[in-house]
Amino acid sequence: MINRRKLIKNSVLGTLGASAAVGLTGCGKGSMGPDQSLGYDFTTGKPLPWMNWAKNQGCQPAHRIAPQSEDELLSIMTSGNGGTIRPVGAGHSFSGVVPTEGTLLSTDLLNGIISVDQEQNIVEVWSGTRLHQLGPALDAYGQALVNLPDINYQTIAGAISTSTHGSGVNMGSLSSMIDELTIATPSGELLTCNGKNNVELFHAARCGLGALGVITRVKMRTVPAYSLIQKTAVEPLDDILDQIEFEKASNRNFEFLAFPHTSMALVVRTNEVDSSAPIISSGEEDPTAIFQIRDAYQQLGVLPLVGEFAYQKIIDAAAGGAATVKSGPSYTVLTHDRVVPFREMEYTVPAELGPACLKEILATIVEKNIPVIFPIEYRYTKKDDIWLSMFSQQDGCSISIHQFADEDFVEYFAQIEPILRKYNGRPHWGKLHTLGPQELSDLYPHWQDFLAMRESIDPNQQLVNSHLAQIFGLGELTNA
Amino acid sequence: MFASFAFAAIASTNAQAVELTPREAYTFGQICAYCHARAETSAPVIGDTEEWQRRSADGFEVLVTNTILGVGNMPPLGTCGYCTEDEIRNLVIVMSGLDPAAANQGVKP
Repeated sequence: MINRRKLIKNSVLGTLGASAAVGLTGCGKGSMGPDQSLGYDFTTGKPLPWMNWAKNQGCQPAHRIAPQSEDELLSIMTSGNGGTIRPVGAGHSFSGVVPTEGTLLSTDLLNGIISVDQEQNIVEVWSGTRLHQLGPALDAYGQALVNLPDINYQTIAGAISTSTHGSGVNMGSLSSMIDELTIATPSGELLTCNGKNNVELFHAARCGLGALGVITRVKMRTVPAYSLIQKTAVEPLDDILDQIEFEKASNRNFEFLAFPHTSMALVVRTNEVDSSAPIISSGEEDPTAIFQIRDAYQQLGVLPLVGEFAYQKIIDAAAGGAATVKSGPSYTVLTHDRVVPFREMEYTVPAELGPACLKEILATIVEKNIPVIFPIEYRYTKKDDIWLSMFSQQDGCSISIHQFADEDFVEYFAQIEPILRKYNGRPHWGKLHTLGPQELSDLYPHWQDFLAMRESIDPNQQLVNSHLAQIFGLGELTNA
Repeated sequence: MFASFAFAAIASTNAQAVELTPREAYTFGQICAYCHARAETSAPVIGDTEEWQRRSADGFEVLVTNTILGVGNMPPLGTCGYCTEDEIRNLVIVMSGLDPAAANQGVKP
């Protein structure tokens, strides 16, 4: 992620000095958008509000519960409370999958490894285990996940319920790594499903948006622990896209981040390395470096010719810097700190359409002079057989659009979303989008199957909040 | 169940008067510490009393409110979906290393 690249930061700061010397004027942060505070407050002794990581979703739940066992969870599900129950993990979803005025049920305390089969490469783990806990815990058994997303704050349950993914043409999402899962339903059943038993539930629940029950435990396929080396560099975007098939084939994990208003991108290539090799860390990471880029952009402005030319020079300067290199156990290399608050929209288009879609997005940003600097993330993921996975039955290219949390994302995302839809993009369930049931039905061959499964498991809509009611076409809820 | 991951908290001398419950200790070691024990996240580090004193210049209650509502790069409740107000207070006391008596400063009316 660009915000961890000190070479960029250094280049930006250096170029800023030069920019000031030639007297460039800038556009202020105030012109970028309104304050997007949700308005929740805290008064001692009163129930606490809940907000997600990005602070664009929130609620004032009547109850906040964290069961520590499946029995306790089942008693909560059948307590007769009658109100809405929504599971929550680490709260990293930007979409409204979590908020409820009823019961907010945290899976965090259903936590830890249950068993490890080192011969079959299978781990059984409680659903509230966070990814950052799982990496070292598996490593102690000589095991690892074949891939991980860019950040690792999420719980297993939250990550698989939204088909969270990393990048790698030969690797599926976290959901696709599930061999079996157990789910507590609103009727108080504990259902276990896999490829042989409760098969349809298995196809639905591996990306179930928390609408089919509360996942309690999963069996995941693992691989023997391995080490990786990750190299990043700023390179011309056209060169990257010209050799995209070579890049996909020759790197275990490949992704890049394109800089709007420039012709450059930060390329991230990750490959296996002998575990006995010394750990390398060349180039200091800085999770807040992107603020420096924003400062540069705002000082330069988006003035035609002069502003864009100067900003291009900043990114070009970064290309002259040494690439960063990082190696070590896989779970330490694949994930990164991402502490700068932002909002995100992500669509997955058919893999072969990725380059054309990205080019059209970048051209639109220039043509419409959209004031954005946050890099656009570009990743690949292998297809799977999960009903609502973004990668269901087709290899996918995920294109992620970001905006700082304190800037207006609505107009920017609204200008880009039609392009992503034009290329048959499927929205990430945990990120922002505006699609409704008709559009989603057109994108997912098993959409109606999923809705039927949801109806059979939760006919009283106990697990449905306003967001889910909207995307499932269930009408307006009065007590979500 | 949640004790299955090892707890490794770093508490300063001033915070010894606060005894964390097992659930709080788990939260501290597995959720709070993931950022606050790693300087590279830019979060104030556990036990960095000078930095915590600076951040609590307007009263201990500010730390509690910021933890619950989020501030800057700090996410609301530190991503803890279950923490209660009392738990947050105890966690902040241990995190900051400030004297628990400071909790009386700046309490909202």
